[in-house]
Amino acid sequence: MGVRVHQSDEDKLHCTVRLAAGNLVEVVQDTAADLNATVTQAAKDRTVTGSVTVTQATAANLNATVQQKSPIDVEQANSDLLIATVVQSTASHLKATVAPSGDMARKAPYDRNATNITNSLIIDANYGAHGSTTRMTYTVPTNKILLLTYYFSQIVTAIATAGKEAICYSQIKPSGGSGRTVVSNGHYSMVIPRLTLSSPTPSYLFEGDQLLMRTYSNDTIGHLFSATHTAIVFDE
Amino acid sequence: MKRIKVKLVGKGTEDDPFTVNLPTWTMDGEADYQKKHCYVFINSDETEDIKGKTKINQQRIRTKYKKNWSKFKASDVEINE
Repeated sequence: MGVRVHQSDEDKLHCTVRLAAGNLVEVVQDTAADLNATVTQAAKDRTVTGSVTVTQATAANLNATVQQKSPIDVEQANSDLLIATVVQSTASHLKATVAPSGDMARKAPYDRNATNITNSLIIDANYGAHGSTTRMTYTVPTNKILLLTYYFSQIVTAIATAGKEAICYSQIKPSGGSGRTVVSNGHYSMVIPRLTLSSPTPSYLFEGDQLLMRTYSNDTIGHLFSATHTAIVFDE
Repeated sequence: MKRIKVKLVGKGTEDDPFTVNLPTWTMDGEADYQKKHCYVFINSDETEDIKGKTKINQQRIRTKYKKNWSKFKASDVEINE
């Protein structure tokens, strides 16, 4: 014995069906209206072979609550929301397979082969005047994403020359594009001891993007430049 | 990390800074701006030992970074002494 509840017009379908063990229930909504189905299969033993199929073939939402012992298929064939509650209220084992398709929740970054990256660079105070020089580069590898969690840049000057400058700056360089300075940390015309620090907002870099650290100085008196990048790199 | 000697490129200007044509590296010490070279540290997995010397692993860099680096040539960067 089987029961089939079929809603073929545009109205919503609400149905509750209760059958004895071993029977077949099929609830079908093939229009654009929402389907709300509650199916209870009151099996009394483990020999039940009947099955329940709840199908929403259109773009409406599907809410299904099905209770029984035998195999259950709940299928949402389109891209709308599927809410399914599977309840096993007896002492038997419950086996449920959830196979989402399309968009789905992703693992957290730290669960995607994450590694910590820390690049540190200290240039001591003996370095005097020099042209703009890239001191450090990190390129995001293929199929990876970098979350820059912290960048620290520092210049320490015991004493500098009036009218001269020293700059320590960090850049994010998009793949195939030109660099964008995210931190520029400079001493201009300083004649007194000074320490400057910078730390930018965390940001994401993608495959091929680069993180760079550069310095420049036209002061013959040496400065101490230091920079640290701290980041997490994980699978796309 | 492995330390290798490489070519320094660029003019030292804001638009064309001195740099090294490698994807990931950190300069060790100051560059020789006159002779246009410097020492850098690169990841160990991007190097290979050939006859007791540390060399850039060209193929590893091509596969690890692909984008913009698929035609990378170690011979354009490395200085062999």
